[in-house]
Amino acid sequence: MLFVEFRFLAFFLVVFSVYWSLRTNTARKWWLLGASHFFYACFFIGDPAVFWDHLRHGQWAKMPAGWWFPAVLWASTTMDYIVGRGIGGASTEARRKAWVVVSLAANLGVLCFFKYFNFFVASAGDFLAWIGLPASVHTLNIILPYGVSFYTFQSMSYSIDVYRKRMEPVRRFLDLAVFISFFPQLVAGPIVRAMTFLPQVLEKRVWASVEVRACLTLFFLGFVKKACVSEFVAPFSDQFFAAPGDFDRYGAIIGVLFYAVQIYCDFSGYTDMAIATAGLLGYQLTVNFDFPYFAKNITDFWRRWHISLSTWLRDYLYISLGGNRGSKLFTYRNLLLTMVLGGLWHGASWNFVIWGAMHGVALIVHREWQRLTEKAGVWFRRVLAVIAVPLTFYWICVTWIFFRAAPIYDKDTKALEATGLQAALQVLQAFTLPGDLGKRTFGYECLGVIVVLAILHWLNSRRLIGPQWRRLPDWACAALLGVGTAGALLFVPVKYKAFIYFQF
Amino acid sequence: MPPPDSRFSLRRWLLHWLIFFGALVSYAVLIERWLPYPDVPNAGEKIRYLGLHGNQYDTIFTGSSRVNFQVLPSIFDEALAASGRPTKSFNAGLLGLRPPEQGYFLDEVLKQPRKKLRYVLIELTSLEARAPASRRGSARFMAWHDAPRMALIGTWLRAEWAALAAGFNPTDRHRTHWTELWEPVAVWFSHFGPFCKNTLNLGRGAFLGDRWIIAPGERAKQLNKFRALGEKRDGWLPYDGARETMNDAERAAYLESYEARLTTPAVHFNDPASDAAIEAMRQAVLKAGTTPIFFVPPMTSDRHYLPPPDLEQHMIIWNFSDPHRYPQLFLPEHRLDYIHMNTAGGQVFTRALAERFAELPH
Repeated sequence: MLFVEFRFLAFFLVVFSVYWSLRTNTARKWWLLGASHFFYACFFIGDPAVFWDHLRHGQWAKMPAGWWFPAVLWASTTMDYIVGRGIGGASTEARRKAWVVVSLAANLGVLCFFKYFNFFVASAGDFLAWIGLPASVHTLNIILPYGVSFYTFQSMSYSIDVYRKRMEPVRRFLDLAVFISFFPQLVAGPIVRAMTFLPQVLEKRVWASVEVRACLTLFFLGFVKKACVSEFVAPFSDQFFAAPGDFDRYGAIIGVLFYAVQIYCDFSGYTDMAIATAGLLGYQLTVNFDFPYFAKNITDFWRRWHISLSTWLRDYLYISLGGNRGSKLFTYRNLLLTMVLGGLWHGASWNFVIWGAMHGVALIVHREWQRLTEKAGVWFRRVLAVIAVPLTFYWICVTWIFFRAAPIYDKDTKALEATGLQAALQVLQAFTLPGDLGKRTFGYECLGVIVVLAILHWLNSRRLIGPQWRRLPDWACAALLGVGTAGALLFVPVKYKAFIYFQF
Repeated sequence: MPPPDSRFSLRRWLLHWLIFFGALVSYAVLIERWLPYPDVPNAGEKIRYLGLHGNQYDTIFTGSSRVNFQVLPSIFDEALAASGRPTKSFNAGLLGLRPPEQGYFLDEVLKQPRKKLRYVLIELTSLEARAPASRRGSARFMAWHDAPRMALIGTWLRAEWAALAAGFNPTDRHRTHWTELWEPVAVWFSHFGPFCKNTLNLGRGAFLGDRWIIAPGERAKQLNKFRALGEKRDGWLPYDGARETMNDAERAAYLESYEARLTTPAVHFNDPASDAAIEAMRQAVLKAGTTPIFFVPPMTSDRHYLPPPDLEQHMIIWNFSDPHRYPQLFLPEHRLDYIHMNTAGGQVFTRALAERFAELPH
């Protein structure tokens, strides 16, 4: 059940209506917990009648793949509840530390097993084969539970914050369960901190504090980003990345730029809808994007892109590694390690490792650059200000190539033509070097699409649209949203692709 | 619903939703006028081709596979030219085209340039509400679900219920039961979803992406291919590619149905929804300043749809489904099954159509 589907609207209408008609906070939380699990189950349950029939008769082999996903979610929640209580009741620092180690080991263990087991085993096998040693590699048929990367990070944030004495452990299991399984952010974030969300769970939400108009507008914008823009440009980048060698330079540029548009609109669209959905239920989620493609440098980019992840990595990984409390080399090591692990968080593939490393190196280079140009003149700074945004965006696009590139197969024989990394290098060549690799190209209208999107994005980033919108009376907003929805529905694909970040 | 606290007003809430839906539907209806017919294979190509070259045709055929594969405009024009009445005809038949879609497609055809158009020959078939599952959800299926066509489905639902209500008895197992009453409603709902999606133009702008994904030069070449129009670009295609004859089992089945038709004349059934659909098409053609001609292709099916006598007397109807009058149309070597003919049969049928056409007053 995707946010952009009609059935989600029907589901949310029921959840919303019942939620606000319940009087007590406890009843609301139970309702949210049930709704969240129903939402989660919709991703793998298939036909509910068939599922129930198999469950009743114990036909486990016939159950849909992933029917046990909720068990992982519950196990993670239960374990962190116990850890939280354990830390709260521990009499010595050593015991507190032991409890938090249990939490980290269990959460990271779950993540490593489901996400990285096959990757590490296969990579070890490849390495042994490469150095000439005989290797018999056995991978397991493991499927990744939806949202595991997101909810384990949330779980860990709770244990770590309790350990760091930033918050009290929760008394009731229900509160923690609602926090971790809250459906708007369950499968693809934003990664909400226990410190910011649990106080909201504990306090009864008040309808008067809900900014309905802002939430509906945000949901609409998210819908447009995902359903119209991301889905519209996806076939272009898919075709390009499937055969980068067939395209000329213009085609390559459009292919890569459209992928940058696709991933931003896909993920930020999802986040907007998640924030709006939570907002309509009276909860505030973390802001996740702040016009990242207008970042002036790579450090600025990471303050604007997937903010909930970057701040999580900063607070719980980079600082835990020692942060910048050491020599320059020590700081750079921490930066690189954090970004590589951040890359690996996105998926068990060397593509993501390289992507993370590229960002890590760029962050280090930027720090050095800042140090070197500290005393630069005004003119130099002015020139830099002009080229900073396009240069940063160009580098981001280059890194996306490694993020996106997948193995290329021969269309007819389905035989592997190039591995993911070889494909990435081919794309990189088409995107960065002069000359055409092939003859295929896209229509010139694509450039127009990019220009229009860039202008709209720029106007929005300069806060030229928002204030005007807020000044409008409610009835005018309703009418404009109606007109906007009619326009947006034109570009909605009849069948949607899942959100890109669902796979992480 | 949310509790009635300080800021919540149910009246305002409902009013704003009403404004939202009003604006949504009004704007969707407004932009629908500028949207092209969906880029679906065959149907979209024919409409697009008529949009470019519609002015050269004076006669257009429309109907199902029995038109698409069995009416050869080149032979039709040749036969009429030989009889001293030159025509330029176009085959706008489509696989599985029956009312209500037939009426929608006809409207689309009539929207195209048609300076010379004088005759529209329409295959007479009954309204098909229970669409096969394979067709549901396709762009072509979605496209015809507009308000007039939904009204026809509504007429069909009322007729079905009237027939079922006559035999309704919840206690008698041999008569109509509750579940049977529900089935037509389920059919109606299977059209209501596409109607909502179509009214809101869901995904109708996707054709832009489909076009822009191809370079302009290549795009022009692809748009000019018009594969569905056949070699002569007159809209005719041979049935099923290479299949031209029946195998022994098909031949035996056909001959059995043929024998039955020879001895038992076809039953003409009454169907208010089909009557309304046919009348709507007749009116659309008349409104366009052209002459509608209805025809029944040669079939050995035991049930035939024909309009009621009061409607029939205003119409030109040519019934080719009479094996006594048109024996050559029912020869096994001209057939593919009890409702379809092969290319040779199509040629014979087209000549028979041309003969009837030549009889029309100038």
